[in-house]
Amino acid sequence: LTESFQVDPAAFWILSALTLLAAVAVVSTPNIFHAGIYLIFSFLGVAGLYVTLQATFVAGMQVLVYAGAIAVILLFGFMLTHNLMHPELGTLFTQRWLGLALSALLLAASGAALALSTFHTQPDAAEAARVVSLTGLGQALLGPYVLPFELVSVLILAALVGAVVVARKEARP
Amino acid sequence: VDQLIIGLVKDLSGGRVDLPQAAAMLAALVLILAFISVNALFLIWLERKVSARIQNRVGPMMTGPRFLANLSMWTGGVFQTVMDALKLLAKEDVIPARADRFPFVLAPVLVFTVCLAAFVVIPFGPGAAVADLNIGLLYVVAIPSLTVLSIVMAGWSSNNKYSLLGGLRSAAQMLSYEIPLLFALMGPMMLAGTLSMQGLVRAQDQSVWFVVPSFMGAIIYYVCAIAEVNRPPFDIPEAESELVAGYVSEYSGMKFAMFFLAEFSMMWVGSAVFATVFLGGWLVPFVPWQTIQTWFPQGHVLIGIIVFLTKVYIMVFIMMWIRWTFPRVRPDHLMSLGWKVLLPGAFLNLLVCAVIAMIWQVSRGPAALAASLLNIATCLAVLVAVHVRSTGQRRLGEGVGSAP
Repeated sequence: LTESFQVDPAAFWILSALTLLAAVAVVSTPNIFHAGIYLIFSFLGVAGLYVTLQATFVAGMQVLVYAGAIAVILLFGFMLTHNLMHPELGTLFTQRWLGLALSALLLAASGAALALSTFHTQPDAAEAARVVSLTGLGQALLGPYVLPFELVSVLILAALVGAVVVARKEARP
Repeated sequence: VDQLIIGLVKDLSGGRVDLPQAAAMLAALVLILAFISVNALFLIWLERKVSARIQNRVGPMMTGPRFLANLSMWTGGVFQTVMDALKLLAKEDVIPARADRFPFVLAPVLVFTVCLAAFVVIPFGPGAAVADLNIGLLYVVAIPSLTVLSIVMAGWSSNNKYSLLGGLRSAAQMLSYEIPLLFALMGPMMLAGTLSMQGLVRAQDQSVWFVVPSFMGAIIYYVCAIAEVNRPPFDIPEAESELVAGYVSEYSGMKFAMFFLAEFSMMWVGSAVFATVFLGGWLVPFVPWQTIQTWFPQGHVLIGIIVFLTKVYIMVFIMMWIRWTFPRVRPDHLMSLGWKVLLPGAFLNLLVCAVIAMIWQVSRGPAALAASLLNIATCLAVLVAVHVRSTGQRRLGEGVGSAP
């Protein structure tokens, strides 16, 4: 499980283009069902990027959880929503100036973070050998990262309880 | 497979021809494509023959050599599905006027791509797989989970009530059954300590077939696999008597054929995963692989492939048998079976498998055998409990009111 493999740099560019173009299509298409489909392609592109980073397990999980389950639930929700395709129901964001300002702020913040951090441009031998194996991942989750891992499960439990409370009809006395 | 083809060409030509890597990979791809289409046509023919046998008919008999048809019902009509496929190819490709064209066209393409991709990790024999990915088992579960997307797309874009209902039902069904399916596979994964499909087979060579220590997991996986391909008795997404043809109602010609082809290929993939994970893949029953290798130093790969395909087709046959034997499950029964029986059962199986894996680290003797028997016993207990409960409910229902 620890064997690393070579990835053609072209794969990175193709997958990045797929991810970004699909993401642009998600926010620019007026048809919300089409937006959901483009979102799946964006998810699959991200899964491919994980593969180029040697994280095959994470890539598999990305496909299974995001593309296979979350996207399906999204489309499920669209199908159950009444009058979704009514032409007067605009899906494009109308407050353009506020949106532009917020994105500019986000871009500045992430750009600053990128500019301030240093990257290894040459892979050194020790780093290349440290491909995270599935066993390593499991031991890390139940070892040093056990507290964040359990906190996430509490968060998911809270979301589940919340969903039940919202969906449940109160019994009339 | 590409290495295998290079070796084969070298052997046949007496070491004179050294096939380049790219050509071998192309040949492997063509081989897999040919296998998928011929296999799907064969399975559709087999389904019609099995259904005919179960219903005391003879099935298709006319299309094929006359002398074969005179032989027995099983050799009649061998070209029936080939002709059906040609008919579908020649049909007009209709897209409804009010359909949402982009998802309508994309859905059959996506379902076929997914089904092609799923074949990549199937271990046909020792060393004979297109790729032995280190996450093979996860891959072969994750990729087919994308078929539900194309079903939802098809259901929505057809702009038809029945299609939409079929898509909705399918999404609910496949999402529910994916969870027990994954947990049922986690037991064998823990016993083998790997996710590689070839690694799983080798681990079973060194211990026993995982159907023994993970008996309940095997049954749960098989039920979930049938539900995942929307086959009867879990075919509520395309229930003919209620929904015309469900999500494929508006499809015709080659687009319909792609859905059909994908369904039968996915059924084969589900059986192949079962054979790999629970029935020892290409291992010969009761004979260690080392012995086979010493007996047949030349042809052991071929033996592995034949054994594997035999196991897969037996599991496919049982799926067909189930289809023509049991009536369709009611939607609410389907949900309660998935969430209240299969999921807790899969958890229980995981627990027992964990105990067996712990024991295996110390010894592989009687204690492990006892634990395996424990798994089988709990499975039977659960089955009996479910049966008693359901018959009890039926009696209760009979007493309350008279059905019209």
